[in-house]
Amino acid sequence: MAVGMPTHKVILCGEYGVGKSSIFRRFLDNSFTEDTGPKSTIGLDHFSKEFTTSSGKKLRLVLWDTAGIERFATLSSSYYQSASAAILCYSIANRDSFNMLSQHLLETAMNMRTGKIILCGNKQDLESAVSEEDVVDFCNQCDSVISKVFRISCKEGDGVRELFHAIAEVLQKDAEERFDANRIQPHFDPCGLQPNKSECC
Amino acid sequence: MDDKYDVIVLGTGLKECILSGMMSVSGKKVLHMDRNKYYGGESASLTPLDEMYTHFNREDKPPAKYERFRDWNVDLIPKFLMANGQLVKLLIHTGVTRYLEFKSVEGSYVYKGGKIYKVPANEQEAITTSLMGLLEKRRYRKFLQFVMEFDVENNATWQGFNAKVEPMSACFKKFGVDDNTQQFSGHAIALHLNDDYLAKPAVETILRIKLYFESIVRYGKSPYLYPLYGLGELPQGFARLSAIYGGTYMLDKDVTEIVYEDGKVVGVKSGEEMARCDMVIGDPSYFKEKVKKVGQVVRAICIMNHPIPNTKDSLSCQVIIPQGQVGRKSDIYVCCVSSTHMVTSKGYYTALVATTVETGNPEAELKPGLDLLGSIEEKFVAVNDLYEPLDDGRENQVFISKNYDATTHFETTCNDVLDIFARATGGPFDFSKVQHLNLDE
Repeated sequence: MAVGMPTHKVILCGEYGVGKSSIFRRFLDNSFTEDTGPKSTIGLDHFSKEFTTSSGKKLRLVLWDTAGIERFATLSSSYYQSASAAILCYSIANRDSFNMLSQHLLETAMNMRTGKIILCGNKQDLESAVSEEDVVDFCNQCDSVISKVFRISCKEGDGVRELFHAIAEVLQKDAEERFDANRIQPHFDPCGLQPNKSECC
Repeated sequence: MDDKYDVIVLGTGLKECILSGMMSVSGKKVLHMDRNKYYGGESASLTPLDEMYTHFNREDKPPAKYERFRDWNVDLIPKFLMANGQLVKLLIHTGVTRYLEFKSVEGSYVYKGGKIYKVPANEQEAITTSLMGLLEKRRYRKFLQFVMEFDVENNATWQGFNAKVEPMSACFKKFGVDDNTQQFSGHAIALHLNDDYLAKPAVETILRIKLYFESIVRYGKSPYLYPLYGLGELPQGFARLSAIYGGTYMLDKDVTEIVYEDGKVVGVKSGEEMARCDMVIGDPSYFKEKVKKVGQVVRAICIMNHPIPNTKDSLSCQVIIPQGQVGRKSDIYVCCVSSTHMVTSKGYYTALVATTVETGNPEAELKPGLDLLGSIEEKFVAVNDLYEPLDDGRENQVFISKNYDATTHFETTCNDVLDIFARATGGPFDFSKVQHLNLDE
């Protein structure tokens, strides 16, 4: 990993079955599988990739997947911690997954402390159960919490590249603004311990 | 849920989560259930602070000065990790460290004659400490040199003392160290719970003292580490490991029956549903008929607006009160954490005082520890029964963990976990089975 390159943790949130692991797969190696169930996530939990923004700045996004825990249990608080952005996912073909968004949004906003939230409708290739207006209404209801809105299809591969480039831009812009304000991050501990540095990965 | 699993794990306490992770990594199909909505069971960290008040059946709400309540993560069973100890090894080898961040605990102290002293962390501190007199320091130094050079496999390092056979009391005698040195070496460094160790072969105590000093060398100030956001992060980290390797998680799920056939476990029922399995692992609360009470632990969790006095304003520390100092059979443990570990709001501290119950008035037994804390704003006291399984589980394939003891470290916790794993699978855990893909571009 290049030294000094800003690194941002990005997490996937949303109902079970909306295609979070499919987004992860597209991010990982641009592949797609029709397989469902826990198999799609085994052995993989996060993956990092380098991005260059339109202004030529380089940064690294580390995408984290849920490991399917959300099927019958809540996600652990550590999943959200230190995340710079959350991709809040629903399935365009599944109205229920859209209706559950407010629940997931609340959970994410409470646990993530600071971080950008990107709304992402997956399965655009299927028949739509959620209209553009529904999405606009939802965004209006939750004030300005949502930074960007996307519609993608992991099956066709549409919009996934754009999604991650947009996240990179948003985070870079945010980092610059923070830097200008000369803020310090209380989480950042220069003598912090990383016992795993040399011994795993 | 109506499926067949290799292992069903009941309860998401730290021990159960570590075992669930180890089982999934070893290729077993795991179903992990908890009757609670949250992870951690007995070893959870409560957040926000209101939850703490609710948990202890308090009718009032936390006062506004403790805002933000979300900043609090109060451990029900506070403990520290030994930097070179078994839990850190488990965390590193399983890759669970990637989900967590740690900070060093600032100081480790020992109680003597009503005062507390820093446990000497190196030779320099051993020379300057006021814990012992001048002559004793020389004897202690010789003892430490022996311990640090000791190698079980190499009898050239034994200085003519066979630690595998001779008891620890003989080892202390060999170096002529006094009662006081024996007390703090045995209790504050080797972390023995009582004095039984004196009559046992010295090798175990020597290795424990070695572990303590090797842990200090690793990160400096003290041998202990503590995770940011509280200990509740640990079970969650191992739960995530288990899930990544295919484990299924069900929280908020009642266990109504454990089903046996011909004396062997075959499944777990929740209402009308039944999951079949070859083996069940769980904490004692799921097996009321298969455990026996072996004692009690009393814990007081205190909120303070200052660090523990006489600890050089340590933002985190441990104090051990050896039993001999206060006329008891078991030690009293004190530990303190604060906002530096993201477990309180700024300016506040949580301190734990805990011990094994010996009398009919458990809370009074904590007094020597509570007296060290100075003024206390809020105090939550709990007396918990300690249960142990009636048998080793080999017969019915039900493996039950022990409750968490009074110690403020995880060494006994890990022994239980590794022991259950070996009993359940017929062999020790093979760390080489954990192979994390490093796919970073």
